Amino acid sequence: MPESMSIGGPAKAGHYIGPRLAAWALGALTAVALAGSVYRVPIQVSDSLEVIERVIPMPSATAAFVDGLHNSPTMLRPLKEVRTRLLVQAGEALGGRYHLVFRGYHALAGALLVALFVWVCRARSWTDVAALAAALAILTGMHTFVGLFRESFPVNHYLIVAVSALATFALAQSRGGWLADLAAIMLLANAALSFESGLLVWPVAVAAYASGLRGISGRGIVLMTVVVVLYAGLRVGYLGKTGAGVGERGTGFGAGALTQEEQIARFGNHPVFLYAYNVTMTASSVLLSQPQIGRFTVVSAWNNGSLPPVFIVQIASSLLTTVLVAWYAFSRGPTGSRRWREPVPLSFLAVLAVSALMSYAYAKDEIISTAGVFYAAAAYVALRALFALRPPAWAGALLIVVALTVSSAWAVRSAGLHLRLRHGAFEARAGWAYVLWPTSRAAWPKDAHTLQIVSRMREEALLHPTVAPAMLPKWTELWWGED
Amino acid sequence: MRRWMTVALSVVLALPPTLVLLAFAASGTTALTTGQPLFWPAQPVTLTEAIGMHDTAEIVRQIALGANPNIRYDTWDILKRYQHVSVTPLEAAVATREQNLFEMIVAHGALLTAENARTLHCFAVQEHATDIAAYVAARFPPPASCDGVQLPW
Repeated sequence: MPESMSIGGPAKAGHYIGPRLAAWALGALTAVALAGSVYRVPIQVSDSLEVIERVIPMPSATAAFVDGLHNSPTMLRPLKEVRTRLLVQAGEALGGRYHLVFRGYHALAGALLVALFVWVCRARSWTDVAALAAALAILTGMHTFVGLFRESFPVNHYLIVAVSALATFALAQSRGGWLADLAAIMLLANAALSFESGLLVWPVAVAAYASGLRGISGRGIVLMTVVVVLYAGLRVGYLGKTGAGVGERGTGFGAGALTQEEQIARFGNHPVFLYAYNVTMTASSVLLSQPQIGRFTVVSAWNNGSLPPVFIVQIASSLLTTVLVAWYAFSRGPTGSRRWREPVPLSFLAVLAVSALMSYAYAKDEIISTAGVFYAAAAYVALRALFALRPPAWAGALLIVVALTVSSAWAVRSAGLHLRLRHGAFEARAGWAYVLWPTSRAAWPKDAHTLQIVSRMREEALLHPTVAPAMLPKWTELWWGED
Repeated sequence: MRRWMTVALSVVLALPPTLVLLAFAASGTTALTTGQPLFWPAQPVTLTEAIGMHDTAEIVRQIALGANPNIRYDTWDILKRYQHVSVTPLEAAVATREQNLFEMIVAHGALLTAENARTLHCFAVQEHATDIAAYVAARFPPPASCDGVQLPW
């Protein structure tokens, strides 16, 4: 067992039971809290209803897959169409309970993500459990985490990528075998054909292997590499898809934002500078919580004459946590080697680097959401290592004060996830007010079956009231930011 | 690490996140079982309050469930801070200056008549809601004067 997975564990297996149960209890609480907020978000209209309406009349899942291969010059997401179709069919089979199926799917996927996180952390002692409690707050408090749940298209593919990447790491930690290899290959194929960022599964597997984990064998890594090559061949060689370029969509820059036209005007001839900015700032966003979506929101707030506590909480907690992770990564383990070579830190670095590179054309918090998940795992191993220190009393007291500050700040941030999801629920529900507009019947779906399903989805969304942001106390904006 | 340090560090790391977690797990359980969370649940609002908050979905829901878009509703702390104002949905839409809200209410059954057109047009002019004023003027001739028409908010 590699070093980063065995620190502080008790000698006897029987001693694991209490901490293990406590760890899973923390995971269960996190999952329930998350599910309660995620399930309240209605099915989304923008970027979502058109996909639903497109797949309903299709004769089969295969037809949906083929459509997904060809319906965009830049995107290759055939499993998105297949998944959407299967969920619609499941909703029909349950008597028109589409909200239950679509939002239940997201709530369950969130619970799965939390369960995988707890599994990967492998808390075996009470000090591990304490570190896990803080790490779960970091996981859910990261500003990138909400992007896994707030929107859906109609299924959130960033969530699929995060779950697949974490599951791949869990497989790498396992005892291995051909089944583990096969599962890793399936996870990669499933994630990559759901969304381009799904390719992140491959660097996770490679980094885990390079750090000494053998749950996915060398043969498995080779086969996964073949899958990546085949994907590239399908995407570029066969289907002729192109990548994103300058002006693909608006992005943050400095303290402001650039429209598509502004990007072309400023960087159209020399895009490297914009690409370099996006890549470095994306990595910085994970490590320091700034900039967000490429924009230094803290600078614009400062320029506007106020610095709400949300910035202090976010930046201070991220800065201190990143310092902790960096200390851990550059310290030496019992074998004398630097700890960044251990599975968790190395996988985090790999995911961070590849995610940042994937953000070259424009910044988007969701693209780095998987890096945020691995950041929390890296923070867990670093927090756990604190218990192995032998500081003098004064330094120990200082450490405890700093730890209290950091864990409190992350606890505050994790509460903000639920507020953001309330905002998301309001927006998603509001979108349905404009669907099936009474005086524009010509724009309604022509097919009776599609119309019936859309009507039912609309009814489900509208009949479940959500809190309006205008009703929320003003202080929520100060502590968790404007939406 | 000394024992007291280990215990103290464990407590300070685990306690704040666990307290928040317990609170939101209770909220999440309530949301899953009763339909509304403990923290930041939906609040009951009148039709005009929903309009004032740009809550389009709530507007459509209330009208679909039978709310009359042609009568006055009490509106608390939305159009006028900490005060009750009694307005019709179309008047509330003028207060938001959002033409799309105005059109939404008309599309869902609010009547724009010769009787209310003058008041609505004058409100729109006084609120600088030029789009809505133009919308009303396109259907009914604009009034010669707005004398005596006072904004209720």
